[in-house]
Amino acid sequence: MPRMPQPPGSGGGQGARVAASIKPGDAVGSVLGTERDLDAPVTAVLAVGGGFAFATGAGQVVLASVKLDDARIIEAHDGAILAAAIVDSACVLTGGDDGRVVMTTNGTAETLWTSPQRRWVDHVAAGHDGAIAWASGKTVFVRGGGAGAEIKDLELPGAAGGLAFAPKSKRLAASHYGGVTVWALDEDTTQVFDWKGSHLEVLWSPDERYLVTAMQEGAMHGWRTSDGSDFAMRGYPGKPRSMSFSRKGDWLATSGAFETVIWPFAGKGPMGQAPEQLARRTHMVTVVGYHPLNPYVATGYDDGVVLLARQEDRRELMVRRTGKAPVTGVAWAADGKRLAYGTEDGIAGIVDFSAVDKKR
Amino acid sequence: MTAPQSPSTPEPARQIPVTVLTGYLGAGKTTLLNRILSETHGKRYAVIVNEFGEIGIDNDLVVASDEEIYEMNNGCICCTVRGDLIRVLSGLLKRKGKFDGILVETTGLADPAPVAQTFFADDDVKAKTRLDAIVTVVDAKHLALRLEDSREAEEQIAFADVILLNKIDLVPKDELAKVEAMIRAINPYAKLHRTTRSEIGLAEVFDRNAFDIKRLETIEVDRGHDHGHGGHAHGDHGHEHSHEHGPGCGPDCGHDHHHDHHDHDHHSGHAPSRHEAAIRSISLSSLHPMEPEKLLKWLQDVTAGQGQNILRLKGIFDMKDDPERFVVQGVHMQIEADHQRAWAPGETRWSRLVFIGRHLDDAALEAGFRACVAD
Repeated sequence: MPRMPQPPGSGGGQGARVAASIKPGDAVGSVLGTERDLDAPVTAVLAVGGGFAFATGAGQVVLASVKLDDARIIEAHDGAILAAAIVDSACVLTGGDDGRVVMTTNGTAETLWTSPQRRWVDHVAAGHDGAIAWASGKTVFVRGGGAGAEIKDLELPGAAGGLAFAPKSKRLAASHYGGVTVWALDEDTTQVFDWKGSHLEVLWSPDERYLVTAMQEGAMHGWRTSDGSDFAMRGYPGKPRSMSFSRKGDWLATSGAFETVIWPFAGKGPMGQAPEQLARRTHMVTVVGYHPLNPYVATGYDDGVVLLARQEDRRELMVRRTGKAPVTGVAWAADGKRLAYGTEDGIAGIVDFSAVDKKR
Repeated sequence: MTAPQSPSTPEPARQIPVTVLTGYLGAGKTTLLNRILSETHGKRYAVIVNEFGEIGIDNDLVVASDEEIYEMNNGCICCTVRGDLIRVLSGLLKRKGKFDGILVETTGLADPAPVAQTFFADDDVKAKTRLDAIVTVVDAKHLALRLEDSREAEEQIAFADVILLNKIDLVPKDELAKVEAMIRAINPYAKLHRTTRSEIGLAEVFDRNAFDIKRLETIEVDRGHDHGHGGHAHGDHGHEHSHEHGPGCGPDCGHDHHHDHHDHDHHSGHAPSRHEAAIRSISLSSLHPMEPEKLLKWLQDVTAGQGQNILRLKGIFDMKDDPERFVVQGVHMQIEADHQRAWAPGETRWSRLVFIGRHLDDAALEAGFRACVAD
């Protein structure tokens, strides 16, 4: 069972080389980015189309490409948006505490489903070929993706802690107290990967060899999907709620510690191996996001700081120097040239790195 | 592993107070809830209910949540929490605009401990909300019967910080005195209000700070000795640091006493008769100062060893050579202790400690307490 070794001293600190036009001490975000106060907590940040979508605690979906001043604000929910996902890289699927599932397409919000009892829609997920899923309490609903055009539902042993479509196959994973239920949508069969405790977010590795969950108990848990063998990834001082696989699935970056904890998933997987640690500060990492092409991790902290850490040489680039509230989401544009972030005190930000690249 | 202390702990003032409302079926909880939701009080309270019943589902301040008990760290009673509450509270905190308070209604059959422990066990919940008080509504007419047949009714009284002795119009005065005595035998320190139709000023229910050891002013141990009320109004209390002593059943809980067979034997199988397993309280007091190291060690040992049977404890101590009052409060194995404020001039310095629980060994607790008195 892997355990985290002792933290390695102070960690980073050396800033990465940036363009000559940026004065020493500048945070790149203040030079190359824009921010906007959305006046409600940002609850999710996603890349959509050529831009980004920010979901808020006031039920809005905010769409922006580079300049947040020009953002389009769509009133999608009557309450907080609790979960969001991108469908076919163009539409924003959201679930809210108004008990509705909403799809926002080209700036128009359409209600897809309403809870008869106004129960919260806590989780949403999107798969390939337009498949969508959402969870309200113990019930998971799915449409498309092998389940057909009608909405099908599945009752879990406990309330859903997270939802994730398999990247390739027609399967949906739903985590809950006691483990993860994998629903094979074509066959309409289920398989349970169990482990005692409360499982929150769930994620597939890009090759579907592994399923991992972030647990309430300050640990990660993983299963090899081929044989169900499992492993614990422990040692977090907080709850590791944000998880991100590197492009090839070799590494899994996680939040929940005072550094980004990165588990090796190449070859035989993380069993018996120690994680790498990156971007250590005196504040807790709240969100992580691997760059879509390179081994860089965008890292958000509970004090609102965002930085970019390069795995190979541990160099760090300050993206957002200060803040007042935790970072709640980060997202990369598909080409990796822009990064968006959102915070609990309602700040949305977009940073354009293409200018940095050109001047190097 | 030892975690570095996060420097970003929010100030207590920004934590949203959470009131837990318990009470056996038919005691008058729903009446109270409806009043809180319908009265004009200028406050914004979110209400978490178990199911939408007589409470309107159109009110977006009402959230239904199915009780889900999570056993953390392999299932000691002290590590059970309400998983659904963690989820719902986190969700409520995502909303734009803050609440003045959150009210959690529990089912009539609920054990209040997992609800209370949720506020110690989850970091996010702990950072943004605080358990303010457990309020229990009691049906004056049926209490005696309830205590005979229901373990939960008894626990709800044991955990309470505020008790609404409701439906007093249905009970003759002398009987009411008996009912109050029954409540006091279980819980000597809860603030008790006599009500009809759950009518009470909301200030008596909300923002009581009953779990804030800084606000622990009196514990009614023995009325004969209880003349230590001086300095009541003199607020605060220099110290900012709060220490959690003893085995906090957080994520790192490593107790190996969870499956104490001796304890389990007591609970297994048939329900024990009220006399054997009845919840009651033990009050201890001393006019001589206490030895701090001995006392803390003893409290840790007692809660670690008997935490399953100790439902609540509260204490105010006069420590040797210490100009400040030392205060302790706990739920099962979770205990918090801290300096509170300087003893006021002229205030009688004395120590008092109340345990509420089952199978409490009076003689052993008394002896343990006496052994902590400074020479």
